[in-house]
Amino acid sequence: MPKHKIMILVMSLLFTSAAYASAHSAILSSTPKDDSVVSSRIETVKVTFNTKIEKIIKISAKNEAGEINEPDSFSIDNKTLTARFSPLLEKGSYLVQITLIGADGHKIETAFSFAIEPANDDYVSANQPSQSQISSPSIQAEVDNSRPKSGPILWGIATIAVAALILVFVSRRRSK
Amino acid sequence: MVMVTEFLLYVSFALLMGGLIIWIVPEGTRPRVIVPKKLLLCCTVLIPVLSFAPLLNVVYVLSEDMDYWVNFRSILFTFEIGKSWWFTVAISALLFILLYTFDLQKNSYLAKIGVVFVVFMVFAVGKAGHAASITQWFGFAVHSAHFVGVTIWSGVLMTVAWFSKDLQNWTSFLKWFAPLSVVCALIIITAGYFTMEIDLQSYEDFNASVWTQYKNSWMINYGQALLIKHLLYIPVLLFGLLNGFLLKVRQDANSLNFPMSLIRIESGFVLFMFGATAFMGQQTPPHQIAQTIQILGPSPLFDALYSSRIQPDMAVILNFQVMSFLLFLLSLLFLGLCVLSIWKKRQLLSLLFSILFLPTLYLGIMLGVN
Repeated sequence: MPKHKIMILVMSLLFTSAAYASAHSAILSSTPKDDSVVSSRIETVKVTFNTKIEKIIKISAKNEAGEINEPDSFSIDNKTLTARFSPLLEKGSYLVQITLIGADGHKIETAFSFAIEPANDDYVSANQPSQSQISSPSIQAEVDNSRPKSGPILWGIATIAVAALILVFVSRRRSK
Repeated sequence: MVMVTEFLLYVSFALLMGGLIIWIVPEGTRPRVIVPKKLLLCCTVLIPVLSFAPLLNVVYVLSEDMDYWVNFRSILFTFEIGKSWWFTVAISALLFILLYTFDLQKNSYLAKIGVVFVVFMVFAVGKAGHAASITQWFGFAVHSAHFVGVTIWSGVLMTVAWFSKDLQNWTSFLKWFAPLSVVCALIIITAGYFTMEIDLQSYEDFNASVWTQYKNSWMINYGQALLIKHLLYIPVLLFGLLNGFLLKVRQDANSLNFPMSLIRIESGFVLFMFGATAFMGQQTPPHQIAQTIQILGPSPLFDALYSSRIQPDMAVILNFQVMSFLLFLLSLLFLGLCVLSIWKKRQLLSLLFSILFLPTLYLGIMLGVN
């Protein structure tokens, strides 16, 4: 079997395994709380997981009519996800579904729900967005740490080189 | 597929550690074991290569929405599993240089350094694991300790089982290996228990005990694999005890048959335990069993054995009937027959009975589930 065909076969085998979706972490707490009822429109949804969030794949808030709202922007702080919805989420019951990658590298699909029931018709929102809080219209506001840092790599190579030199040196002395 | 690479990863670790330890101990305290240097070099290269598979898996999972290269870079440089992998690469490179340049078989000081390197790589595996991802440091510590114990003990076991050329110095060998096995077994069991405590923690009922969660987890793949892994440990312990403490071997025994075949059988069971562990590691842990059953469905094995429909918020209660007790009795009979056949030096029979013992006990337990 020609070499490149073997390569393709191996690579495709490796990739097909990814069909095993698995939920490996869970929501420790959320704002609004799971199964709670809040009385004002929601701009910010905060979720804390039991593991560091490596990457958010998908967030959506589905209401009882089946309409899907996606957050305007979101940010990650270690284990906490903060998602901002603009326009605000109105009255209704919502299922927030989140798909992410946790610290052990496994895909997590999890969800929680809450309902928004205004206390009175006067509908005062407790989360009046201040101008400084509204992020720019761009979608991706996650912490941009995807740029490779070359510093550690150079340190690593230097360490290996130094260690190798030390080893050679030590063995030379011992064999005397 | 990651299950396969994980399985091979565990085997590589074991052979590497076992080979190095065999080189370290004086020749008078072990049989004549030929560990090819090429094999250890191969394992040293395989470890970072195989450890890369989970990373590729993440690239694939992410690539549905975004482009490969961005994901690849972020996984390699910002994800925990990426950082652990770089560490593994660095250490394995050092070990490779060490192994390649020097004759570690003659230089036990350097071989010990090699062992330290392997331990560090074991730590990297622990750091990238699930228990480490949900605790501050405890999960990392106990998972790593568990794996170190496994690597050391199973490594020596496998190396001796498959690379020995004779049975010289068997008694001297057991003089250090038997106690080492006991110590390792204690570490494995204790650290394993604490790892389990973390991995079985329920988020649906924070007060659920480890035993409750252990039982409930049988409804999903993770729990089934864990149970099977533990059941497999019983014959391993049995053979270990017999090999280590109870069997008398003639010093001048030149034929490799007995007790070497028993050691090989023991190592075979360990390989199956590796397989169960590799499978388990890719399944959803039982933190939210009800949710897991709803989203992913129950374990097919459990579903096949359980008579009624499975509701997500069910709890597993054990209620052993006559059938279960009969099966337990039968499994004990098999165990006894296994010991008997070992005593009579009918090794194949012992293998047969130990294999029969497993599903019998398993069925006995499963039939008692309500």
